[in-house]
Amino acid sequence: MSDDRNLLPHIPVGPNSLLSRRRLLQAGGAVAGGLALSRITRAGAQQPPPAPNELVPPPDPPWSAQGQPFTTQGIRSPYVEIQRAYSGGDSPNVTRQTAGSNFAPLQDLDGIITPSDLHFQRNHSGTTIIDPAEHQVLVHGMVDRPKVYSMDDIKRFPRRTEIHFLECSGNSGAGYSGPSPDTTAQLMHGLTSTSEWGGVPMTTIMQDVGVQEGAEWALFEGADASRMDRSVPRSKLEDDAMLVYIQNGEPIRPEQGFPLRLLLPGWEGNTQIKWLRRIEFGSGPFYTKEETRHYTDALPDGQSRQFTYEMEVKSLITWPSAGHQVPAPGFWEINGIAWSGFGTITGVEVSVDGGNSWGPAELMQPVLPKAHVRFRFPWVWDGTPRVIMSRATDDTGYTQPARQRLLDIRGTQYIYHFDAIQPWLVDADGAVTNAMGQSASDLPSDTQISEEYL
Amino acid sequence: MTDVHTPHRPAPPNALLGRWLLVVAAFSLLLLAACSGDEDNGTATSTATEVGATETATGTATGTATGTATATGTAAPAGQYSLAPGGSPTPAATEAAAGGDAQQMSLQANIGSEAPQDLVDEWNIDIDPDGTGLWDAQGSVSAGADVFQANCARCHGPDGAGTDLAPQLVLGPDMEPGPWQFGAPRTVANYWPYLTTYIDYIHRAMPFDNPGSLSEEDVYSVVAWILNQNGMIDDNATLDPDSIMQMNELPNYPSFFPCYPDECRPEPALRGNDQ
Ligand code: HEC
Repeated sequence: MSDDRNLLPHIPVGPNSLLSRRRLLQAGGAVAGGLALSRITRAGAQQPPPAPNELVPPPDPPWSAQGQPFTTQGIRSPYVEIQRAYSGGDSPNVTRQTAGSNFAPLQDLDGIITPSDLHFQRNHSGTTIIDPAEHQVLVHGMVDRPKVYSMDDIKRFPRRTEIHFLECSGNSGAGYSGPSPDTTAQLMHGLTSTSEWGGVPMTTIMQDVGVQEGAEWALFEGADASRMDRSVPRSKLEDDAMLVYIQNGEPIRPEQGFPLRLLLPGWEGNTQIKWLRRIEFGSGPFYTKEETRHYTDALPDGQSRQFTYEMEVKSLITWPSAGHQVPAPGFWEINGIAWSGFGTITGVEVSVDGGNSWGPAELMQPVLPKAHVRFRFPWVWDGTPRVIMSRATDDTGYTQPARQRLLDIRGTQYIYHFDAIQPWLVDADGAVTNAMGQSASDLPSDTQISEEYL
Repeated sequence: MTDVHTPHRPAPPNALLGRWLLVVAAFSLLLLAACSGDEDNGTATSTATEVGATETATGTATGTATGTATATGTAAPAGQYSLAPGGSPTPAATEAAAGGDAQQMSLQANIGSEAPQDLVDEWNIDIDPDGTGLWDAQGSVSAGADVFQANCARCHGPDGAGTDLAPQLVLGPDMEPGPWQFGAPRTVANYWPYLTTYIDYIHRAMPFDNPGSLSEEDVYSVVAWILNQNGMIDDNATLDPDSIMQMNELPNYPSFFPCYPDECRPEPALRGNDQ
């Protein structure tokens, strides 16, 4: 180390400095304070004495006074406004408050892990609070040893930890009908979140109960009021399914299924039953409501796809996105997230000229399969109106399509699995709005956006 | 011409400061760890009692069949065996369980209990398209009208047309039962493929704020009334397991096609990076 002053570049020092010992301790930390003080004194001794008018100290900001006491639960800074938004809005009615969606604030988040209290929710009959001491998980049907497990039992099995996204298959569904210009990243795409999940691999449970030959499917059912249930094919259970009880280092939250939920990496969220209480093995699908009436994808010819499980490759720019303001022309770093339920993101390209040209974004580490990946892209904004967008490719070779190409095939009643490229309009004043669903003639002419992205 | 730039990363000017703060942070962590002590002890074993009792009972029963003598009693302390799938076990683990890895050890440990048949009977509520799960009862359209008005109308509307609280259950008077047409609302008459699924769902989840409160007969009756309002059965029709199975494949049944195991996506026209 050549110059000790590099260690504390923001603290004014000198023999007559009014730098208080208290502030020094705050800056340096109690542990290393003494060490730092002696170094500064030595470094400061080499400097000329300050002129008298430099001796007036700047006023202490209010936050340098006595701080808040310890609390048992962490707090978010009151200066940080970051919250979910739920579909029921102000409605006092119980159905609107318990059946619907709660969107994660994607435009305010960074990194790949979603803070657990901001994880999205899709509930069909409210969040249920289960006493884990009373909770039981029944495994029966085509198995040699029908069993019931307590949560303590489940936790005795060898555990595994993995980082994966969860996404409601209706996420981004506004893309089919066309969002309004003020539809934010949160309200458009906020039904996806990434967590570190811990639990027991399904294969362990399957061996423990002895799943029989010919048991090609299993029904998973929740203990909530809707007794949400879905069929899952055996191949997925043997591939990478887990029963998880840990989310980001703590017991999974009630909103994500405490005390136990199914995790099917990369698959639509609805299949990953929360508040899991029953698993029944059988020879075929059980054809529950959520794989017939809902979560089936209706095509323009009237046919409906069924068992469309993987969430396709998707990405979006989260900064700047609708509702943001780009402060001024000049250098800004665009960033966003990409993910694919089919595998691992291999690349994200960004266009800042309405899709006329694309450049590679940098994928930030870690890049994990079936998990959000954060990307960044340096941009010098020239102050003219711009449509900015990203498109991701995964290791199966699938690239996000332009919206009109998706609609050509799927029509507007498909509801689920919308994964087209998300265009944002940065206007000349820096205001950002959602360009999807707008007509090119309504956008500033110099954006040169092709209609197929809108 | 565009303003696309190649990403570049200059070394951050405050790297040294950052590293120093990290060191300080590490020190503080050490301090904290030292202060917190072992306050957490004492709660870990609180939840095992009831299930633990049954576990012991069945544990001995199945233990003879599956357990090896070494696996019980002398549990290997955590850290003495590798949890990595496929990882070779340490000598200690090998000693504790002849089977080898952690998963094998757990499987020999008789975790969980044999499922009591009455629990299976109580929880096994799903009704499958082959009729499994249907109960022996009879429902009528006329009785169903009363059940609906008393239990469903306040959310789904008196005629089942839906409100902002709950979805539409009955097609409008100008619509016929039949395969779903693009843009149409979706009800049992034109979207749901199986009647068994419909009965299953109402039985498991409705009325929304009091699921499970209807008698088995009332469930058949209210379904009969909804089918009648949708123009699918006569006013004097009844529903029982036989009549249900006779009409189980509903008008939109032929419109569904599975994308598993043969994936339908990504659609060929959307493949590749050629936009
Ligand atoms: C407190 C309000 C409420 C009551 C009472 C109620 N429901 Fe519902 N119902 C709902 C809501 C909300 C949904 C949508 C649930 C969801 O989002 O998963 C629903 C969904 C349904 C559906 C699925 C419709 C579809 O095609 O998606 C059926 C069928 C249904 N209810 C039948 C009934 C019957 C029969 C009764 C009376 C026995 C009843 N409901 C009572 C609120 C209610």
